[in-house]
Amino acid sequence: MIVAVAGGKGGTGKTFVSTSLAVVKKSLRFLDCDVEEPDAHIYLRPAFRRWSNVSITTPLVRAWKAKDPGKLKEAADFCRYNALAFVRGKLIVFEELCTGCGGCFKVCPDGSLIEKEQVVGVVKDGAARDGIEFVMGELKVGKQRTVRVIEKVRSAAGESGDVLIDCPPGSGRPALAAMRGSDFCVLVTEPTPFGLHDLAENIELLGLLGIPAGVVLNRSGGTYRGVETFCRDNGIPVLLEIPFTLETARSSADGKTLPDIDPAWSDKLAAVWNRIN
Amino acid sequence: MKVIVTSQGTDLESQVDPRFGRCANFIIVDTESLEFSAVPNAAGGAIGGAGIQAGQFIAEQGIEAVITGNVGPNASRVLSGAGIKIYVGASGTVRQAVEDFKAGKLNAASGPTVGGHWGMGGKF
Repeated sequence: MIVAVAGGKGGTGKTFVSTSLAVVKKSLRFLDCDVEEPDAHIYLRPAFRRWSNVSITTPLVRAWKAKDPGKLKEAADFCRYNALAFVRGKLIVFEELCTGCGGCFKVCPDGSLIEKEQVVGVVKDGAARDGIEFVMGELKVGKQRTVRVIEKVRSAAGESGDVLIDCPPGSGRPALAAMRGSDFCVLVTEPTPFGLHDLAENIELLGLLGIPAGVVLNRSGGTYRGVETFCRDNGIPVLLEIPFTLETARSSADGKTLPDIDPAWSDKLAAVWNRIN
Repeated sequence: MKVIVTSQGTDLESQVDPRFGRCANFIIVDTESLEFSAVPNAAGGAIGGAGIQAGQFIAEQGIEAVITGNVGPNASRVLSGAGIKIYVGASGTVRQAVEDFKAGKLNAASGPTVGGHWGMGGKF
């Protein structure tokens, strides 16, 4: 079974919850798909065995090979991302805008464009605590091909066994790439209007994908009841509440999961797994 | 001399659009006769690289200079590749901008005057 842990708003405790769920379940495959700021390794402390680059193929211009400069212009016109510009008979490549779709090579196949590998990220894997197989993606600083790196991490899910995915925040393409194809999604949020707003967006997205969801309310307490009301009105189960305490915040910042803070959490998290199943 | 002014509207009394790649319209003006025509900027809604797309369009118009508010790094690369001068810091109406240009009051940019995505409100 593939379970995604997501949440619209950033900083609600997605990774804290996903790693806590992981150490209780044990022996699963954990994929950190929050490739712009991966931090699950701080909680799960893997020993990495393998590093592999994630690349895209961008064009490099060999203008002297161009049999027909008109083809270079066609390639520039074809590029929807405007990564190619054709001015005064010359093709200019804007590498950072290239998504690596390869379309320009098809439009202009005469050898005037050659393939250049552009490394956009890295995927690492290794063994972590509690028998967890750990995989994480890391987008290279200054690169924008987030989804490409996430898809590479997702491809490490394997054919069988339990998989837990730590998703990036938001409800845009990166979040979609991470949660797509999962059997259940745990949405972590906080009891604030911001938390509710982004939770509602995630619920809408998961509805389109047909993925069932449940909510974990982190930092609960206080007076705001908007999230509970929303969940009740929309028939979304609240799987767990984690009260806001200074000790929890401190321990989480030290890289401790919920069961590390208090073993009593193990039973509650096991109950969450039961409900997911 | 023919120049292009980035504009919010479609005539000489319209306000200059300070954005280059994501401006609403281009006004092609003859600086002597003040004859003009307006073209909507097809790059205004581009997913990305609006300045590059707009720069290519301008390179095909056979003009000598662009008058605008600011220009980003990618557009600057395309326009200088096309040998087109970029005059920045224009404001007020298009007519005023052309007058300022003729009076030598606008600066020719030697490179970008703003970072990428400035025309998107600095987001992304």
